[in-house]
Amino acid sequence: MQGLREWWMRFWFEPAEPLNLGLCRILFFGAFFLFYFREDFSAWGEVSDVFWRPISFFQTFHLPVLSSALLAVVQWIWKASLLLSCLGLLTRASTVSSFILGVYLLGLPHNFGKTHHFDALVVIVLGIMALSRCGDACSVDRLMKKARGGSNLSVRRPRVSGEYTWPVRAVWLMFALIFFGAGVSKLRHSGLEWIFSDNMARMLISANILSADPPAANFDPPVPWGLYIAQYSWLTQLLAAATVVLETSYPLALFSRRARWVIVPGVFFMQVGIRVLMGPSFYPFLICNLFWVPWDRVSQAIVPGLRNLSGGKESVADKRRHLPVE
Amino acid sequence: MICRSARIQESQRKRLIKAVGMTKWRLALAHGVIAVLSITSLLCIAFDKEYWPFSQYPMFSSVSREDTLSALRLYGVSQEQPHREIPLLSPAYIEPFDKSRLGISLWRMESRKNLENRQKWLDKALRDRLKGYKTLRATGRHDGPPLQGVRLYEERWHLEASAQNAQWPDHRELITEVEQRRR
Repeated sequence: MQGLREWWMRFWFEPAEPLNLGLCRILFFGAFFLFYFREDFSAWGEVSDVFWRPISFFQTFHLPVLSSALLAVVQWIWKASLLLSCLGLLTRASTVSSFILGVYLLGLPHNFGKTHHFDALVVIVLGIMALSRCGDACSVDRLMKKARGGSNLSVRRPRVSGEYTWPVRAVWLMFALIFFGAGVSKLRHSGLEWIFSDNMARMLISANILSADPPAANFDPPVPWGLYIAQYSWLTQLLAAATVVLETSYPLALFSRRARWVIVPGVFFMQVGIRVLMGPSFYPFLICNLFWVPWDRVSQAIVPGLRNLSGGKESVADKRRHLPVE
Repeated sequence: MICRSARIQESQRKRLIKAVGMTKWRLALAHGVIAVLSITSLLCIAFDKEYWPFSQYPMFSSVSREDTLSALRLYGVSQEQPHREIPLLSPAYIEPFDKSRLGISLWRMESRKNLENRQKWLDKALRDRLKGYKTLRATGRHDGPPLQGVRLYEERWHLEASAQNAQWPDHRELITEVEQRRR
């Protein structure tokens, strides 16, 4: 029991410097600010109610479709919040507003006919970031606090803490549960027939038949390579087997470094493959993979002095020594 | 003895909290988040249900056993003579929908059992998309031709390995059509 608790605390709350989470914040919010900058949610305000088919979340909270004008205002506040979160200015307020408005705006299109699954993870990560202390490093807030705090060391350098570990691990957990769920769904609905049949070949051919001419960005396969692959049943079955194995074994990436090195890039390229061969894009998922990269180590390798800008008051090694409980 | 053991456990707990550098409230909050994420996701997987943003991620999970493929497709009818049919597949023509979301929405309406309601809903939906096309055209979002109406077809293809029959479905059935209302 003691060992399990120790492992649990190590996994979720191993003391870390705030740098990695701060860099994840910059990259995550920066990437999604750019990704959604040109997206216009206000058009949903003009779609006929004949298409309205509310998802459980909107039904439970009785969320309506706002008018186009109001949606335009909400989306600009949301995009500004994403930018402020990226900069780390008014970080708590901006991350909370990014989450609350993001839940509404990103959820809204799913009430019109079909729930797509490419952006649900973004909503969850926005929530995790809103509750985290991701503004403690590499942020304008930090710089302002430093300027006000003068030579006070505790203000100049935040302490190493488990606060900077659990949000990153929570994103990992969501990746594991999402892909595990996708793998289980395939086995539950189709069993091994999903792998050992012509199913994958049919999916590849169907995607190319239904493709617009010219192919629509983000929805149609950009190249007809899926048709070549579909000619070899051993290859399509191998792809199907790899998909199910990678998805169902994703939780191993949480516990094993070696498994992480295979599974995380494997699933990343699987999603790239889906885009190329079948059309649907999972760019938000691909972006969220940034949480798997130890940016503190990457950045320190590139800029050796960076740790001094936001490093811990106490070294991580010092702090970790206290963690095991005898 | 029990009292001593409790004291040891309490002191270990305090040391642990101190070691991770978090207040007990923040530690409790983090545990709450982890519990909500895990339990909700696992319930979705166990009961094969979706509670957005949590899901069991069922896409592509069913096996297709047929060698045919069918889809509902929306076509615009151009104003100029002779009338041409333009497939409304490009996102620029059907924003904020995409072809998958629009196709499934129309398929749901088309599958309704009440024939009168079905026709009413489909007409309303098609008029809405015709209006949407015109608005997008007027605001310069696309340079498609002006339309006088839209038609909804059910199309069926035999799955040819080369997909060369993509433009020529084996079966094509008009489900419904609407024309622009004259003023």
